[in-house]
Amino acid sequence: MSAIDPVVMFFALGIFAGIARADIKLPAALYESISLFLLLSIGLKGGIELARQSSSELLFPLISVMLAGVAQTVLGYGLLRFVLRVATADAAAIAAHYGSVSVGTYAVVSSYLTNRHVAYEPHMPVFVVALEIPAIIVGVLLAKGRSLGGSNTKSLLHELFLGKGVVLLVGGLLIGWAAGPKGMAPYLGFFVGGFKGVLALFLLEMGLLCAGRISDLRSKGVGLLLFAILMPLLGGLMGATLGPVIGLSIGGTAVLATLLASASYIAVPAAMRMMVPEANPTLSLGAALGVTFPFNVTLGIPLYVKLSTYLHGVLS
Amino acid sequence: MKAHHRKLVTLIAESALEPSIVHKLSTQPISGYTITDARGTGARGSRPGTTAETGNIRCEVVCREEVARQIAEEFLEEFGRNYALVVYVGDVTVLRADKF
Repeated sequence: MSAIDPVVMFFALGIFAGIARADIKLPAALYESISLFLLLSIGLKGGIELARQSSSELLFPLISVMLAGVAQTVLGYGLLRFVLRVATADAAAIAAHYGSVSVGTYAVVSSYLTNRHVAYEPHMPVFVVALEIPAIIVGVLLAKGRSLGGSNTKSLLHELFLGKGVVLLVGGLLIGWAAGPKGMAPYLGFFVGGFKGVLALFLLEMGLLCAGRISDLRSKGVGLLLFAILMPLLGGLMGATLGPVIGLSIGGTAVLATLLASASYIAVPAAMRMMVPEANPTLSLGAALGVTFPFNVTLGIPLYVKLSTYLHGVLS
Repeated sequence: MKAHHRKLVTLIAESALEPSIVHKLSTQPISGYTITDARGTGARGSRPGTTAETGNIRCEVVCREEVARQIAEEFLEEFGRNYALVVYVGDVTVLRADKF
């Protein structure tokens, strides 16, 4: 097998096409459909696996992972606000992107591990959902202090629990869990068999989007660029350390490390746009999509897998 | 057929604003509005509309002059500073006066 995953090559093709201004444009409706498919597919797979085994003790790992998301958001805010001197609203919004997770990056690491026959815990999609939420709350609190009014709280709750990611992942988990392996068997050809092909299309589109974002960051200085590489490395280290402590396998630890290293570009941008409108979305999306996503997909994931294997040997 | 003069308010805004715009329009004395997806370039850079997050919407409302002025002022006041938003008002002629 080639050292580079084919999905990464699709991503590279997208970047090339974007930079070269090739005549490729995926319609917005297709991009929406692709993310819907990936979210549902990840949720369903997790749900089916959860139904297959007796549900293990999840509360302690879940709370630890959510606290890691909070810690990461606060750490990111501290670095941005006090080291890079970024304005309060921008620092809070960018930090929230990094405290949350990218489902696309999760899909890439799960495909990376599957290709190498490394197993990971079936409840990882539960962590994906759990990590989406705390970073948004902490980000909004950091930006606004204690001035959260009544109507604001209502729209915050809406963004938190009725965002596309949470609804589709939780919905998929519940359907997969309720129907079980037998009930879901007729759907697996589409939702599981089609996963890699759809992921390839998704990465092609991500490459195109990413190429459009790189130029956004160029004018914003090297500080943010370094942050967008340093932050995933810190997150990866945090995840690779936490994994063995909460009893995850090597594969599970690698997935957790990748989740903490990844930065949201769907749920958090939408939430921050509504809750912290004074923050400049170009900065956070430029960093998350223009630097961190490509870094994680190409160099980061192999690194987090190695780091997780090493730390797993040391810590457990 | 008699023609009647009305105003056409057009709001061009980032897609993220759609729920807020719809909510705010529901409080105005208007009979309806039309929203379409849009893309373009402006003061806040290019908005190519390749994803829901990078697109614009174009919202059109036909109404009486005083309502048009109120909508334009209120929307600019509330969303103009932090969001990508362009508002303009033009003259239109309608045939059914009772509808607008």
